[in-house]
Amino acid sequence: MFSVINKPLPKAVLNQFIYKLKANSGYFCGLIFVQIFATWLSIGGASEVANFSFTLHTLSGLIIIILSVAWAIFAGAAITSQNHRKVSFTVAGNRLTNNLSDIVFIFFGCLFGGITTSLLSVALRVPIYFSQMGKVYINGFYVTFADFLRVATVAMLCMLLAASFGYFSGKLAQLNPIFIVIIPAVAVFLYANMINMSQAHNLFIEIWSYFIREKSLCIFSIKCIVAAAVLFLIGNLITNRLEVRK
Amino acid sequence: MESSELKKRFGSKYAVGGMTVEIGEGRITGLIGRNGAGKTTLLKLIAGYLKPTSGVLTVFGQVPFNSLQVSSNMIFVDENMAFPAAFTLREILHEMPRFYKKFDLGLAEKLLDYHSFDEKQHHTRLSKGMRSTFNTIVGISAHCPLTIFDEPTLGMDTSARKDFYRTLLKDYIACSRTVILSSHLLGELSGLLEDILLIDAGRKVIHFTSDEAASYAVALRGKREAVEALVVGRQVLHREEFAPGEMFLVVQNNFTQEETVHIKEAGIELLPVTADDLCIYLTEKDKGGIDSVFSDK
Repeated sequence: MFSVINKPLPKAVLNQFIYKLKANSGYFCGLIFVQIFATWLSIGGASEVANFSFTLHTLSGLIIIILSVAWAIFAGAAITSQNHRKVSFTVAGNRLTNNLSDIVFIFFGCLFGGITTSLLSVALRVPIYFSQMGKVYINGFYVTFADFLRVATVAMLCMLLAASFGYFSGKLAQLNPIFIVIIPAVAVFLYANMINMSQAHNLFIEIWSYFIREKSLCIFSIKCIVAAAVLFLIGNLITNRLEVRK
Repeated sequence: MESSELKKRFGSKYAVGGMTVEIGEGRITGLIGRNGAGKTTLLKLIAGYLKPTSGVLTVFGQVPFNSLQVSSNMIFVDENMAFPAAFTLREILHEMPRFYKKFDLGLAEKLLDYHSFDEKQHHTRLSKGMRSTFNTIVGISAHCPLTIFDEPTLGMDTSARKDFYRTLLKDYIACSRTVILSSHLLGELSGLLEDILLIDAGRKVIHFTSDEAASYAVALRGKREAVEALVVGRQVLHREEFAPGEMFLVVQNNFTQEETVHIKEAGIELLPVTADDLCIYLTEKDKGGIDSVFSDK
């Protein structure tokens, strides 16, 4: 007769995390594809200002971050989908292990995305360097290790914030499918509002500015982590007692 | 597993309506009932997927809903088992020891080979019968202290079903565990089950061993008047007039030896009732059988 075993929570979470990591490796391939596409857009979109005595090229990795953030929203929401839940609850675990492993998976995805964003923003400079040989490079063209870490951290935090929003939206949709309609409708409304209204009165811009206009990396990190933690916590609290495999 | 006045309501309907039952450790119990009897709901309550509306339910001495310990010691096999689309069948099997400590990978691979699965195939691309077979391979090889099979043979052909019953029995003899298996095909399970829990309309009808089930009831066949006279004061489980004036009645088998002799002398046949038929009789609708639908024509 088989004896009953007691599985510790951290072990159960780790097992589910590794299982999800292997099962969702396609997400990471998708992220790399999105980022390479964004890099290509960035190179093609490098702006040029010509003058009688010099030509100024400006280069921005912003598109890589924006598309990575879009990926993070998608990944955060997709991990809460019904199909993912079915897969998770086919094997041993409860709602807590499932939720915690989801969050660890999202953290890992954002860490991975942050590092690749930083790496690609370095890679972005390579074609410019060779195509503009002998030119003078100013304003941070050469990336120090501190710059590399700063870009990776900012990208990771932006992605984490976005993923937590996606995750929270997915959890709301679990609670009631009507949110599948409401959330995109509100997003479209706010976006339309953003175009039509002045910046000062727009909620969307105000929230965005609250995070993005922060000058201190430390405070920015705290804001992002606290906001993400709150979204993860509420998302889990509202669904922790839901029935599964109905 | 123990339950007391366990109830589960969906909307206004009780799928399980006051179930008090105890399922013993280290036995194979068949959960038998008609469609909509509440078998799946009861099993999902035991597995901790659903939350009881009221009543008490304990599995391994714990409340199963949202319990990591119950989940870690239990596997639930049904047609809705889902595995990551990215994994091949072989990869799925190789992931299982991560969740089930006693998972017998060697047995699982042998069974995969026996059933001629292509191990590079994906679970979602299997036919219904093959998917059921694969799910049972996972369920048997998991070697969980509590193994639940909810209609595990859906879509399987006769040969695959027989192989499943045989595999389960052989592995159970080698490694004893608690198995709960729901099905309507009691006839096929007769050699496998140790206990039978018959439920109907969300309630327990009877819970007995297979041996008790085999001798629980007896059928009387003969002239209507003679047969009816013999069953006065007894609860008739099934009544059928198979020819004008000829009756077939099923009653509980508690006749004394003298009564049995008397019945035979009266020219009435005494026939055994199989567990399969008994379950049908105990749960049949009080509407005169399917023939009554056509009686006005």
